[in-house]
Amino acid sequence: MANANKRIVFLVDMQSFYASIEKAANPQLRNKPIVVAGDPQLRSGVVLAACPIAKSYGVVTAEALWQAQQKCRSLVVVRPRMEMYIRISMQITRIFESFTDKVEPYSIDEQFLDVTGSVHLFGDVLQMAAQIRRRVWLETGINCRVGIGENKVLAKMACDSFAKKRPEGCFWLKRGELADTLWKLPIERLFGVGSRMKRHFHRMGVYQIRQLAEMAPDVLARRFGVNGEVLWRTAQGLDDSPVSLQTYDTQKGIGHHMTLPRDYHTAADVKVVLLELCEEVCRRARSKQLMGSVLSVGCRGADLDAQTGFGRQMKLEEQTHDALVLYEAACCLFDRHWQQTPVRSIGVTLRQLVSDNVLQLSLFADYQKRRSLAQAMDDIRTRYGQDAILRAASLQQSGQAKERARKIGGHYK
Amino acid sequence: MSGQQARAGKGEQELMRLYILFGILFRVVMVDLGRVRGVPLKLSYQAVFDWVLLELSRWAERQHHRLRRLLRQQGCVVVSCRRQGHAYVVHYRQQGYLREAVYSIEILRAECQALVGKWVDTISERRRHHEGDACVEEG
Repeated sequence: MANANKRIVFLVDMQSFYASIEKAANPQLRNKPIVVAGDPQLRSGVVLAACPIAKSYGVVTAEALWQAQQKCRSLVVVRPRMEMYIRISMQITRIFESFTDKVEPYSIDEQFLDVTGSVHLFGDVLQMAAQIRRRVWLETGINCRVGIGENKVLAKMACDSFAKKRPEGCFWLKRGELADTLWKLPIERLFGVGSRMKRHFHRMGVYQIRQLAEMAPDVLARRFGVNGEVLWRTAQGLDDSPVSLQTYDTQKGIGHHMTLPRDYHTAADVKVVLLELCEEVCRRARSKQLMGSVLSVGCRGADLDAQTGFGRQMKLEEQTHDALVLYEAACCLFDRHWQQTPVRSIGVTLRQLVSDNVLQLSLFADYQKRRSLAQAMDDIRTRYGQDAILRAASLQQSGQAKERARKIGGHYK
Repeated sequence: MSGQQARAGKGEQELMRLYILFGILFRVVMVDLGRVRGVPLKLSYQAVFDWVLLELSRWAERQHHRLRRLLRQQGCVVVSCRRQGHAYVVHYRQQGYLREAVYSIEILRAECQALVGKWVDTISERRRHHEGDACVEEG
């Protein structure tokens, strides 16, 4: 019986999610090294997922496709099918919901489950984890790993640092045993420590998670602010956040970002994409009945080494979800900060969101007419598809809206 | 459900999956046979298709019924099977508990394809044995 004060949280992670789905859906691929990757011609030729056989050749996720092909000559490349992956992720959520009602999707291939209240129905904790793994395997053909902890952070680290490396695919990271398990690991294995944070810690002489856990939280808070204290709590295995679908309800911003198929050199070309991005951001804001009053534009240059590009934001005169108002402001930011260098990728984000049911009326602009027009365009897109109605500018060579309508998250549906 | 029941249910999920697969396979083969019969060809291969596909369907149906008996012996009865969008949802009762299995249509299709491959292998193997036996007798 679980301790009344302690929760039991699972983090279930799907092994090579996209690649596993492709293998399950195509028996001929089952014994071959496969990767799911975009089109190298369109600059999306990175490995999104590699199956364990491909990984045994040294292929890693997020590397360029040509590099992966050099490592493994017999590599089979499969185009992504995002709609199918999303569908199977939802199917897996449904499987988890038959074990507990507290399921929180963390990403497309990772989900948190709070099983505190239902574990006694399925034997003990490890038996329940084994049953979950078996059901996911039988019903989707995907091998999953289960990290177990008394909170989300411990479950996540149990999965990433231990369960993935064990043949049984399951590990229970207990707070009382951290000194013998988690604390022995190098600092970069701590959840929330990336390459830059690792460098900071190394400069401070902190190489192991134990050293961080034994530091005073005040010292870390002074050095890194709130994030320092969060990292100390993570090292101590402390996390009070609930497993809940409401975690993502409070949305702070709505943004879209696009890597361009080639470098754009002229402002006119970039502005076509800016308009398309503003259109998408505003459509999503309208669908959530939100308006924003802060706009940020991010632009990355073609020369990644030189770190060209900018990321700037501005306060709008009033909150909006009108694409043209946002576009004018975005152009203003772009013209002010762009240094005539080639552009590789660009993004637009609307922040400081408020509900759109309160509107400051104007004597000089017909907001109602513009709102109705936007609503009509949204209705057409919802009914007939994203590219059913486009702005004429998008028909230019630099326009990406038509191509983007065939994709989800930058990858083909 | 106790831990013991969980262990008992371990095999039933695999049996249920196979039962569903063979059930789909024998029906799909009959549908495909009907379609093949309607295709205009230069020669008639009806006897060939009839023999191959009917044999495959019969094999799948026999497996389907065998698995149903095995499931019944384990106290497991299928309550409903229906397609919901891209998923195939099965409800079954096991020792009083109503359980659900959600299969992806794409994966079921792939698994059925794998079963067809397995059947072809079995037939080829059997044929090789027969030929081998005939050679020994002739020798």
